[in-house]
Amino acid sequence: MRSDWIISGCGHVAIFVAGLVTLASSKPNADVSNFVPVAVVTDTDVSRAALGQENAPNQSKPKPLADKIDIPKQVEQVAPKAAPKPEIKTDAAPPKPQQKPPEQKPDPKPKAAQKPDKKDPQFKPDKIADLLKKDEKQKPREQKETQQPLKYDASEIAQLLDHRDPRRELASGSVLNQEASLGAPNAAPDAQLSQSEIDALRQRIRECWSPPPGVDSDTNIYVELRVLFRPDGSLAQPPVVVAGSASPLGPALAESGKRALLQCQPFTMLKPEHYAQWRDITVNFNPRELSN
Amino acid sequence: MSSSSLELVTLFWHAHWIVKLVMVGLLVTSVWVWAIAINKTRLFARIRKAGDYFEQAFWSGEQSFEELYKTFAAANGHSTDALFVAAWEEWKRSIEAHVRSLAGLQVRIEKKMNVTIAREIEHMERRLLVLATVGSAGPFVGLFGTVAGIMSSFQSIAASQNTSLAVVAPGIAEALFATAIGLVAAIPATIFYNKFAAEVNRQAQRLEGFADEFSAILSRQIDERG
Repeated sequence: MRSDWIISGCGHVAIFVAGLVTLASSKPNADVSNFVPVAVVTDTDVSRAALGQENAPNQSKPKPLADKIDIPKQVEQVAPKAAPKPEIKTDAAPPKPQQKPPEQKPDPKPKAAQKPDKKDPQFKPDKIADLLKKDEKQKPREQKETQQPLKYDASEIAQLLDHRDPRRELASGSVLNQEASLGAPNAAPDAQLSQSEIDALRQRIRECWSPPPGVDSDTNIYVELRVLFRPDGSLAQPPVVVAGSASPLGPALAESGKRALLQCQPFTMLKPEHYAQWRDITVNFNPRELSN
Repeated sequence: MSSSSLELVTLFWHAHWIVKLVMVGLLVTSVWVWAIAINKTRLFARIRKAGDYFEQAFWSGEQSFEELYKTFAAANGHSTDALFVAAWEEWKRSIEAHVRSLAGLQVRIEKKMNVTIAREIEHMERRLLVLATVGSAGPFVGLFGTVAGIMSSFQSIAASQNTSLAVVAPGIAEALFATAIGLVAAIPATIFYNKFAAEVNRQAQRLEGFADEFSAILSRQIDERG
């Protein structure tokens, strides 16, 4: 029995060592830098994005004139080689946020790599300003560079020139204008009232409604009431008849519908986050549908 | 590289002491299970071989029972040869003592062989219960270690106020390691238990079959003498 113990123990030690070796050779999970940041977009986010903001500034000023985008045209065109200088500065500003978006990036490396990439002389003044702020040591040297503008320097002259392709095409305004719009006054968000909410509302109204005498499920009659809600689900004002079938029973049916709606408020099954959906709805009182 | 190569060791070393206890216990149990398995495998191989060898010699009829007895008495076997030796001893003793009633001899020999069968089966079954127990209780013991480890790791999560995967994962991994060891111990134990239980049954049938045949032969001889 002792030899069996020894054999068993040796076997376990061997397997343990083998496990150590194989686990060591397996590399840790793939490169961390390969991660793709993923944002979860819910329905609520979509509806918020589609909605215009109530407190957005009124954009009465005309939208900015679109400048040209750097796409060569087929047909050769005679164009002035250098555009006026102020124009360069105004459209040098908009593309900048595209290169350095304010939201934090998962990996600082691309950001660092971008800076040396900016060999475009248009950005050099900004770069120098950044360096001046960050680096106190290099300050005197940088100042020297900036204080000698009169010295002839080919690179500085090149900096003044417009390096964009003169044959670039004019882009449409919607491409360049990235400012948020106020939204149309009646814009509806993409989110829909859920079927359960509609069913719950219908059920509630069915419970509250008592058909007037002479109206039963066989009566072919309807009345549509426009209802305005408050965010808490109560009625903002008495329901208004917007349509109805021509029938002597119509007024009685409309009155019973109004009573039902007034008695049953507030309608708490309507969720506040979808208020834009049910703020103003039309309820169709149809004995055939409500009685069953 | 050195940190990852010691992953198993660090996994063990960072664990809660209850988890450590469970892990060590299960590791020892695993060694024990395999020791029993190796021991039983050898034992059954020996028994089968000895039984085959003896029965071949027995049924060939080349040797007399006395010669067979002399050959196998010293071997102290655990199979049909032990049965034969026990029965023949009783026969010789009775014949040499010139017992009057040979009817009692038959009963005595059968009893002797039954006792021998019971003893041999007990010898074969010894420690098999350990395998059965480990097979059924091992996963539970490992699970206990896991539950204890996860509890302690949750406590440390609450203490650090941080729920990132880097904080949660190591504790849970070390806790799950306990269940892994439990399964590593229990699965071979169950397999070996079933294998050896079947083997014991087979050997018991073989012994009983030989006992019946041999007692029939002896009964014929007793009748011839009587």
